[in-house]
Amino acid sequence: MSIEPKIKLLITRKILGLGTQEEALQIEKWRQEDKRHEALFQNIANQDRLTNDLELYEKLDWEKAFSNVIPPVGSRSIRFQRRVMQWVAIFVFAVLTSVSIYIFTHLKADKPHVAQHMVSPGSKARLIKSDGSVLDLTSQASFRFTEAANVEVKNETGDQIIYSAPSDTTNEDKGMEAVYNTLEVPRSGEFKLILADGTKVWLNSQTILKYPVAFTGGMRDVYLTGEAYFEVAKAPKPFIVNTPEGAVQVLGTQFNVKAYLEEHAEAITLEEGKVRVSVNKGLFLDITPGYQAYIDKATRQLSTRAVNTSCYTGWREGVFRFDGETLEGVMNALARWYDFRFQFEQASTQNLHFSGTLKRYDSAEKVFDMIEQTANVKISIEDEYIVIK
Amino acid sequence: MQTITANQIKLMKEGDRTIYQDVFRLYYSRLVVFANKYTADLMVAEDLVGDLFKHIWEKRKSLNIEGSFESFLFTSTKNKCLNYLRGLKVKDKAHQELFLEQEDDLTFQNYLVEEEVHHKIWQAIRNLPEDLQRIFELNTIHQVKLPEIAEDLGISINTIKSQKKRALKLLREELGDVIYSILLVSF
Repeated sequence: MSIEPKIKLLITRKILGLGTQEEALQIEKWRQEDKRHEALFQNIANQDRLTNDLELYEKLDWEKAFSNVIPPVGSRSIRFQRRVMQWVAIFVFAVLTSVSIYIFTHLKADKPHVAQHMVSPGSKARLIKSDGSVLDLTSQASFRFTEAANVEVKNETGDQIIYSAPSDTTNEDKGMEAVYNTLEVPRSGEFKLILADGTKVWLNSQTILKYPVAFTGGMRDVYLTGEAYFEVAKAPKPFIVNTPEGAVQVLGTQFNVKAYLEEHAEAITLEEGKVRVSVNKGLFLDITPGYQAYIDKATRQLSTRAVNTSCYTGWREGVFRFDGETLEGVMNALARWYDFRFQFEQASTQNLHFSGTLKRYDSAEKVFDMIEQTANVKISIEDEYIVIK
Repeated sequence: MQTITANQIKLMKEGDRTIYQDVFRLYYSRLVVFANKYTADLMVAEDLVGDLFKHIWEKRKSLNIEGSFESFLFTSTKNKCLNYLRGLKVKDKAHQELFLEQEDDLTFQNYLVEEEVHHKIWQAIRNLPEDLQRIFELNTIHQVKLPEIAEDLGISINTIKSQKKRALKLLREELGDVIYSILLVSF
């Protein structure tokens, strides 16, 4: 199926507001003659996709990219340098590891008391049903039961829980009050959830999500404390994530919400689509992909900034990605996942910057080794705390 | 719309870095935006396109392109994207589905057209005089009503209206009547 140049021009003119009545009719005719034409038109005219591309054309720097691809005569390419650094780091790490293992083993024999046992992270959660009963999902391999409004709940793979509403969605029963379930993910846990409308939610450690079993009523409301990544199913009803400090309203999109009680701010990072973020006082901002809305709890200020979204959403793909993060931020993230407490010997060490990618399913010891070598610190596992020097 | 001539390709093969830079300038952003439709990850899209250009330059002597150079660039980019998606550590079904959904030719054609139209729109707006660009983009692309723009920017509504009129006039000149434009060689 090839597209006539004429149609491309007509669509371009239409979007720019130049199209005539006659042109509009021609476009309509083209759209109706083939379902694929309609689908293509929907993509091209989609405001989010259009503004996203426009933003990219605006911000991509070809000159900078070119100097990386073909270095100016006489100088080394930055990419090559970065690559060399990676190899050097890996080599150094390999040497260092063998040395530290040796020391650790050797010392272990001498010391009488045992360092704390590091927890192995994985899929862990607790489900609180509408009747108040609690189901421990960590030990359950698979199960199936029926909740209110004939919604079926099942866990087949052991790492996710799926809600399916019955096919006749005549539970638009206005008289019925929303029935909620709560999913709690502990420290060192993560879990996946699929809601009755098809929305997918990935929950990170130390997270609680309260959600309706079935989506009756005019809105889809969920309540979050902690961190979760949402892939919201498209539906006429707005989807709203309520957090301690505010709310995120979406129509059909993919984004990450980080709302831990003990942190200084809440952050909503958008990958696809469009969301409206509001603070409890009523202030709101719309953000587009590649941007993050940031609620500072101290000042109650709502602001946005462009970010490298993979740093905020990497966790659901099994990695920690840091880009100039402070060591304190890094340790906070790791502490939730490996479930430990930590202490910096000197306060200034907290502000050291760290950039890199760590795999979540690597052992804590291996992760600490990598940080030690890159950030020039010493991390030791003591009885109660992990100490960073 | 500029295209790469056979003569330019010949010079490129002989190692003319300036010509290659021109090619890069013309196509880099477009290919990254296009690749991003597959990868949904900008960093990866940039890396893939950068790799492609690097590879072409390194193998320029043995380069043998059938058909248009532009087609070659987009097709090669598509292939790199599909290879990348295929190779992703498939821990979750989402990536698997992403790949399968985008493997067919229909998707390729669609993304090509989408990118082309969006690029044309961007160029059209950027070619407007600076003072008109912002107002036009806000109103036409972001669907902000003229009175609201007037209020936000502290300019009279009449000024805004006449600026929009100017912009439309300039765009009409650039994008012309449909009949007139068909006569242009390439869109």
